[in-house]
Amino acid sequence: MQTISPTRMNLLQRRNQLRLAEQGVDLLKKKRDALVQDFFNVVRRALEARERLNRKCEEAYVLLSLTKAWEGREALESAALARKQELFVDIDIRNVWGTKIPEVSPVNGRATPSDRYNPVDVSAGTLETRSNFEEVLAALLEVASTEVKLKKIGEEIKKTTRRVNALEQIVIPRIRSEIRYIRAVLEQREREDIYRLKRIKKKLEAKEKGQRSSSEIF
Amino acid sequence: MPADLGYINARVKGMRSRLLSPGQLEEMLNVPDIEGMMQVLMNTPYARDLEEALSRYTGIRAIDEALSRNFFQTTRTILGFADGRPKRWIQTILLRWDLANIRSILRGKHSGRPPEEILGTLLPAGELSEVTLKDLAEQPDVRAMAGVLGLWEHPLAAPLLEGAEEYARTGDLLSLELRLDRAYAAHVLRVASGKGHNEQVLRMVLQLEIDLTNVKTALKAQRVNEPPEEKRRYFIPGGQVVTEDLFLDLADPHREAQGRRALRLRGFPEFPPSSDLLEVEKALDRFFSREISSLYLGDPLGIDVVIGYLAMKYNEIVNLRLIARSKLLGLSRERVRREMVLV
Repeated sequence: MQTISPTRMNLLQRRNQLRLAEQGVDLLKKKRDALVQDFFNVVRRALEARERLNRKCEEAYVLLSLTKAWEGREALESAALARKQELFVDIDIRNVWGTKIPEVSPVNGRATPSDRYNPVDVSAGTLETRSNFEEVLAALLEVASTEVKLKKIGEEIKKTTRRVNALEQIVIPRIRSEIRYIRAVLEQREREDIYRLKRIKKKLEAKEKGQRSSSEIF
Repeated sequence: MPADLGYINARVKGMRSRLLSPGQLEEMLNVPDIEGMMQVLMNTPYARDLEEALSRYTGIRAIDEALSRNFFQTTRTILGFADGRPKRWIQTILLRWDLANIRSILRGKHSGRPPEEILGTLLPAGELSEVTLKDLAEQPDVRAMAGVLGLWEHPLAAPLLEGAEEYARTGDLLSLELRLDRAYAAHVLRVASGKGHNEQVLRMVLQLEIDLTNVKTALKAQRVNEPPEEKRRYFIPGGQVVTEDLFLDLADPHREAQGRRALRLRGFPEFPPSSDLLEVEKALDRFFSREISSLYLGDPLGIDVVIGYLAMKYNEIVNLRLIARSKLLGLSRERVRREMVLV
């Protein structure tokens, strides 16, 4: 407090800062509300995605095990040897109140003739197992996408809350107290000035009175 | 030669006593976990194979390895009894394993896998030994593979060589595999083309297998968006019931009912609706298993006994794999019994 010089200029500056800080708090609160709303939407989707993934995994692993039992591990692994499939994902960046949130979605490639499974040899069980695991992969991507989104939004909410708290608990009270201090000093100064002026006026009046009375004597 | 088959069948009938009894399967169904199942297996003819497998693997992988190894040893033992024409017939029955192994190696080569990875997917239950399969997996290309098979005068060497050039040009693995599938069927039917009882039995089994495969393939082809000319190439000639036209009817969702009617008229077994392909396959595979296993009670001096025994042995292995998996997945005993191949 000692470093602030209590001038009118500083008072005006602090008032501007206070207005800006209050606008900032307002904006940050709106951002936080929007993020919280988005967060709850994503939480719902993330829970659904998790549930879907668990369900798909259970179906896929049970069928995989049964298919391995019916056809043998060798037959299944032989079918898997035929294709070395790569999965391409599309990552879009969405901007929510200045926060960059990734959206991950799989890009489906078309199989070329040489990539097709041999229907004479590869059983329906194997094909269904493959299709189940493709669904698991899609569910896994959805879970990854929603959980990354949740993490990002969560971090941003935390950061925004910290900023709001810092503005509300530290910055704004400090500016207010500085304003109070400057205003108090300026008011004190004003009172002193008035008092001084009154004293001077009194002295001048007294002096004038003295001069007038001495001239009357002479 | 009937005399040879009489001897082979006597030995095979001796091996029949080594198949697990329903009581032993029930005991394995009742144990709570995979370790318990291994303990029960240690008191069966699988003990030696399981001990060997446990030195390299653990848990279900050890059981899988032991069962595969046991089946491979069984086929080797039966081939060891045989000589002359009976040996050729048995080799023809086991040729499907060679076809499966060659297909696996081709797939591995096609997708650029190292030989060690390919070898893990092979089951040397056919004519080709482990050493030959390893040699094949290490070959640089399809032509070289055909060369190795040619050295052993393997029946699939010629079609592989014929398809090698087209494959090298187009990289179309599916066409190469289909060529091998057709060559396998043609070879097997050629071996079984005689008028004797054994050839007739062999032919009946193979034609039934071809018919069932064609029906399963046609129903799978329904889901592939291809014109009939493309689907036609999936047809394997040589079956007794399923003709090429019937195959195309079954492969077309709008003409499937017509195809089913024709199949019924020709005495083909009923099977579930094609909307559930998994159930269709299970039903057809069970039918095939039952038909083939029942041959065990056929002519005691014919090839019937060997075919029936191999089918029963394979069913037992499938059942053991199912029981082992039920321990991992926590499947109920009723569900496992439903899934098991009961002959």
